[in-house]
Amino acid sequence: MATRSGIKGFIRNYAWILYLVCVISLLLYIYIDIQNVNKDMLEYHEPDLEFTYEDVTPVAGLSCLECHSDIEGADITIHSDEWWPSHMDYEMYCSDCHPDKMAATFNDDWNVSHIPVDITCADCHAGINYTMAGNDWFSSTHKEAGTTCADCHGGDPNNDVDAMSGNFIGLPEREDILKICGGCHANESAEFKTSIHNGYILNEDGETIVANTCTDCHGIHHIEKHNNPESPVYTLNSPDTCGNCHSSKFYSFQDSYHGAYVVFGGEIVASCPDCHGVHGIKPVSDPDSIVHSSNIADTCSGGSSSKECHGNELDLELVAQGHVHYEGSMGEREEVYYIFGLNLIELIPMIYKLAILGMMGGLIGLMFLENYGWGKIVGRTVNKWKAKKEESETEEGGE
Amino acid sequence: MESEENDQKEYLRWGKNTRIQHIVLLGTFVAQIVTGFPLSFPETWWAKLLVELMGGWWWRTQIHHWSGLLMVLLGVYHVFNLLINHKNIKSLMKHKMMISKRDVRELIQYFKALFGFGEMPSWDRYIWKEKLEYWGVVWGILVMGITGFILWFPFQALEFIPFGWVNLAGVMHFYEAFVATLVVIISHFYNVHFLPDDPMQMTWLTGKMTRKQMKHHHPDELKDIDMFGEDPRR
Repeated sequence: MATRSGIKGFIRNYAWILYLVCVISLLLYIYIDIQNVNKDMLEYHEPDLEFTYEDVTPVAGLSCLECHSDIEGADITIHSDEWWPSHMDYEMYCSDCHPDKMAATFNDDWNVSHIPVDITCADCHAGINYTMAGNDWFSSTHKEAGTTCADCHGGDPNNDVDAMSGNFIGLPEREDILKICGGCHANESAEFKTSIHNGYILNEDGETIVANTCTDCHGIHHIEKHNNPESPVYTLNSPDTCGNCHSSKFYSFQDSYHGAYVVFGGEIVASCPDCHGVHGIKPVSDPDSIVHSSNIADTCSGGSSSKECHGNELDLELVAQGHVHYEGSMGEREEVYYIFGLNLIELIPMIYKLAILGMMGGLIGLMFLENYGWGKIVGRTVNKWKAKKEESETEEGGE
Repeated sequence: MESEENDQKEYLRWGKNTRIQHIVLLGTFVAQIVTGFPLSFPETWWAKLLVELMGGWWWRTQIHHWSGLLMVLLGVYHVFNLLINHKNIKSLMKHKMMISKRDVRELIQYFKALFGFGEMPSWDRYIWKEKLEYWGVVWGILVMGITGFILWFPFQALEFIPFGWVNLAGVMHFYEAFVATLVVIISHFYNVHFLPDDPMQMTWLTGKMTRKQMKHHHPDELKDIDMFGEDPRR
């Protein structure tokens, strides 16, 4: 084909390279975008909550108490070491209660009368400047139901001088939370006691702690009903909530059709509680579990809920033979993936990845070879040389 | 030297039937891509945008399923059409799209020419790249069709295969789609839109090729046509 010069020829010769650069950068962008989304999810599901003391002290790594430990009242409950861990998350500092002290007036007129005494819990714990317990509580379903601070935290709310008197417990111990909630929610706490969540696990430091308790799923002060879309136990939010501990299950759920539909806010779609139940969650090996192979057909067809899922006309017993959360290998029915001793679920993606790299590399390589290959360049030089020779021969012949 | 006028003489490369088949394939292919990948990467912004543009999740599913079925039906029609045109298998086996020893010879000669040893081969009606793309589509429709139907009716499929194979079908469906998309947007688009020798060929719409193009792309076929005339089965 004839070669062209000028801008048209330039476009003709180099448009494919421009296109290739565009396509590859687009694919790269999509790849990086997906990696970032995955990274965000990873960060979300493995939160680093270990605040250090220095992170939140207001001035140059010092707290008031580091210098003022000798002042009168510094040893009362509210100033003690227990105060900091529970308040530093909200960036609350000494000056919030003692504004005059921070105005560089370090004189001796500081006394007990300055302590803000005539306060109720919510006066501090609902300050508009803070994302604080009280604020969360004000918009919760507990507020509507009339459950107040003292119901969980103890103490005497009517005592203006010392609300933290009597049976005040402050921050409840993890072990006590089930008992506190169970005071009102007796059925739920009784059901929870039968579940696998009601147990003890080792934490990273090797200490035995309560594995799971009410607040892990339902939140703390901002507790909403389970059918409120803001609630962490709302069906579409449950993968995020459960995934905080069950992160591998979260990822395998996300890879499934159910998982993708949940992200898009599906109206009728199975999320964690739809298959696993709510308070009385039991392991798959337990015959009472609703995901046990003897019960899975009933669960997939909608179970006791009003949802119409997969219907009873299908042979759902067959679902029980497989694992729904598959992560490469399958446990019980692993043998279905093996052909000639090769694990297909690992092998096939590997073959495809190699084919993609090989084919794309080969095809792009051929494009460059066809246009700028040795043959092309040598051929062009030879042709030029031939043409010159012919030209000079004809000129000589002419003379 | 042939005259300028003779160079502009047009030959029918693809008839209306073939061109319509290609356009249906193109349409269903694009529909599959834009409705399929949002399912694989639901957390990305473009997935949400695409699903929004399609009118929601229900439409995404419906478009994906029915355009997939249309693509499979296109494959069935294509085979049916070939059988009708060729009357018997023997004639079909001589179809120029079939891979033969000639392709191996041509491929070797092609690579030699790339490195400067000798001329490019005298191409016939379909060159090896076109054959690979064609058989790639055949393989693709088979794999995507089978795995797609398994994923469309997973519970019915369980009557015949174990549960694990349904998961495997999902994995294959994703990777095959990814390979097909890459091959089309990189290799196929280069060959038909960006080839510096002859960019933006309109043959896929008009079905015609000039004598000049035929001489460049398919010299051997042109020789046949000059000798025996055009094959009516285009």
